[in-house]
Amino acid sequence: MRRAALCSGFAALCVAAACHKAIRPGDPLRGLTREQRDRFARGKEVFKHTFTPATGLGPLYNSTGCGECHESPKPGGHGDEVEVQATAFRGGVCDPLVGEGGFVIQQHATPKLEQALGIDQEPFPPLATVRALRTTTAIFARGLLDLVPEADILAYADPEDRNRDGISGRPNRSVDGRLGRFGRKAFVPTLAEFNAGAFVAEIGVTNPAQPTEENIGGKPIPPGVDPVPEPEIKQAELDLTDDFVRFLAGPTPAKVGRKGRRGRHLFSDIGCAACHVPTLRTGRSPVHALDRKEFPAYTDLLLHDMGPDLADICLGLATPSEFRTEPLIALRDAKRFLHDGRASTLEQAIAAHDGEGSAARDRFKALARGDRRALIAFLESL
Amino acid sequence: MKRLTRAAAVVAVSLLAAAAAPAGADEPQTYRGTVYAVQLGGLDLLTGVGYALRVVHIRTPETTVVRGGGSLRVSEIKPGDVIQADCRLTDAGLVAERIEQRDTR
Repeated sequence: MRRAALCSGFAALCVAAACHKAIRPGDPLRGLTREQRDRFARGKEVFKHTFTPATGLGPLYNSTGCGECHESPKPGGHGDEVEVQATAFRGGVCDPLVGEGGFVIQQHATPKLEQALGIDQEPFPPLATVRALRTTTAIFARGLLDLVPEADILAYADPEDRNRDGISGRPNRSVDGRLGRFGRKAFVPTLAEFNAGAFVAEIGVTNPAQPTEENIGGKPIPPGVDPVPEPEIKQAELDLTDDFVRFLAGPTPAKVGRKGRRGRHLFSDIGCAACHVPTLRTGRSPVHALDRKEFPAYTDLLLHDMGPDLADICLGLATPSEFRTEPLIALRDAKRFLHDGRASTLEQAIAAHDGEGSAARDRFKALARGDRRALIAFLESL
Repeated sequence: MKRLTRAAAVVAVSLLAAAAAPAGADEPQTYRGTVYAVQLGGLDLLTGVGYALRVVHIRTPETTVVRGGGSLRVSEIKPGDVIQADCRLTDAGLVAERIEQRDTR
């Protein structure tokens, strides 16, 4: 009798342990149906696919496929590629330079384009007022961020800083006025649009959501250079890729010891959590694994003024010095930090926080050495 | 039963007719975006998907109905306005029939 009780207790413990098995980078969300897991697997293949000019690549592009950049440690992860963007900010108005080919400045050209125009990358737009660098970030848990209700995001906004804590936070808007949440400037409202736009802007692959190629420095693509008819991928391939990205889970934060737990408290105590909101919750979704889930996000998805040293391009309503609070997801696998990768350590990244982040930065600097290490240990667990 | 069969036939014929109609000319097209530039008789609208932005030129004849918290004139539309334009594709390009200014705050 006693032995039976012990066995059943052990079995219960095993089940509980299995339930709490850590999610690794690149894993799908827990609770997907068999059909959703199948779509995740098939979508990963499209994500990892290498495009060629014969299958739609270019004529201008940054990469030959999603997985070429978002690769470490698994598809959907960080990458060491850095892209170039440029806009013009004049009289408080942001111009994304669409007439000159748009704000993503592709760094490669297909052989046919090179042959036709003698260029091996997109010409830098002459009207640009500034050039920006953007690192390749991990895209885990983006399906969860996509479903955080707008009202929850707007509830964190305090554009007039009415509570006088030195942190304002305001939403960015897409070109058609919807709340933005994706990209370093929170310019894109939905994950589906971000993915569809990335196919075109990063790989030069048109799709049903954006069936037209961008111009080349304001001029049309020379005849014969891009022979694959638009759209260059079908809706089904776009949907599969979208499901792969949507179903990518955020990796479980590593277990922390006493130091890490101390760091977690300090993260809130010194004010980091005012913008890097630790937990967000999704709204309703027909996908059970995404439906009303709390998840570690460490972002408020709002724009904050980060001071003149970090400033680069404007985008939408975001001024050059405003950036969306970066979600601190899969931070432990990142090799470079901040939007342009200027920081090689977390300490450097914190030290570079200015503007609305300056008070938290100063409180971090004022911590005892052991406490600073504790906070970094916590961040390295994410 | 006879009435049902006739209704089904009407629906089928309508669907076939719709499928056979050439895309473009008579189909209304809706564009939402930010006004990029305004010219006499037209405007450039910034639209797009994600980071893949595009500019669409839309003609705005005097007949275009403009609304935005009341009735407005076409000349009151300015760069930076967020609008929804219901257009028709004509031989002369996209023509706005109705424009609605959207409050994005």
